[in-house]
Amino acid sequence: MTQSPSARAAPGEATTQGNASATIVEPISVTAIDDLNFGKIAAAAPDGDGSVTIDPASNSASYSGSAKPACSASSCGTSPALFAVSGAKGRAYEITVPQSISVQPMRGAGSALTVSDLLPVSENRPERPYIGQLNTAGMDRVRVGGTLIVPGGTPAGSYRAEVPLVVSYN
Amino acid sequence: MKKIILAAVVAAISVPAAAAPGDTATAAGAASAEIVSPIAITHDVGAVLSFGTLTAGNGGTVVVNRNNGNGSSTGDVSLVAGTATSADSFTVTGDANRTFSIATTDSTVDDAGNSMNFTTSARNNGTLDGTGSVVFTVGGTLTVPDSQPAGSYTGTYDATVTYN
Repeated sequence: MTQSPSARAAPGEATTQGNASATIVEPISVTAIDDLNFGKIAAAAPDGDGSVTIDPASNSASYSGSAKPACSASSCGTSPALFAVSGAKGRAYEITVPQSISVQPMRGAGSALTVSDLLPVSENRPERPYIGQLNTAGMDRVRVGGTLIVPGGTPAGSYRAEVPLVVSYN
Repeated sequence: MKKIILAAVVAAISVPAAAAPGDTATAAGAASAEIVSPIAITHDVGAVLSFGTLTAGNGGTVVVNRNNGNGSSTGDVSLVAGTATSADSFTVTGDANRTFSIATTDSTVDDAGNSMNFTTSARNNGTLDGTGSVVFTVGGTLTVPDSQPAGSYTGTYDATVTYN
């Protein structure tokens, strides 16, 4: 009390500083580079259903049931979908893909096929599917694999689908 | 010679004593003063008016509610999902139960030569509680220009309290 009047010129008023902050990040964007390609497949009718699975981490294809590679095993032209992602340096983001997509025949008389178990894997953070990590240059690449269900007796044809992929900061 | 000097000193001392009786009167008057604690303001440690993490797009605003710290964006500005906004906070101390006015300034947040303006929002008046202390919070509105560069922007502003 006694020293207060001399310590303050105006004891009825006091001022201090507050802090303010804001962080602006680069918007995140994604560009499709390569299609998800299951290659050429032979589906033998008597053998029942089959499937082809593309592993996004290893880029390898595996076949089960009636689905067989209709090419030399070393180069069937299979590949996971590839996307380029750019945005804020060092930021993590979330990757969203549909659970399954319908693949329409482009030629031939086939009916739609289904790709299930779509799995996106980030190049910078391969251990966590569905989560990506932009590097110090603000870049990442995402590969998407999946499993194409090939019912027995599927007619010959060319099938194509788009894989929608959404990235968002989390 | 010595005897004369001593007599003069005695005479000088007796003068005021002889003048007093009958010439003066004294009465007790009343004086009063109310001493109040000076008002003081402290920025609460760790508190910050945070406009969160956002993408600028074609520009817009971010508004932080002073009561709950919630943020919302307008225009092309987008708050990144999960981003935390917050209101700033101050503690005022002073005379118990006294009211005071609050004034907060507008300012800028800056990063590497880039700048954005913000306004602040606090209630106009506060009342110190029975122990002479009270907290008030500050929200604000950040104006984000078109294509504002990415960066971590910080700034300060002034908060002043005055007894009413």
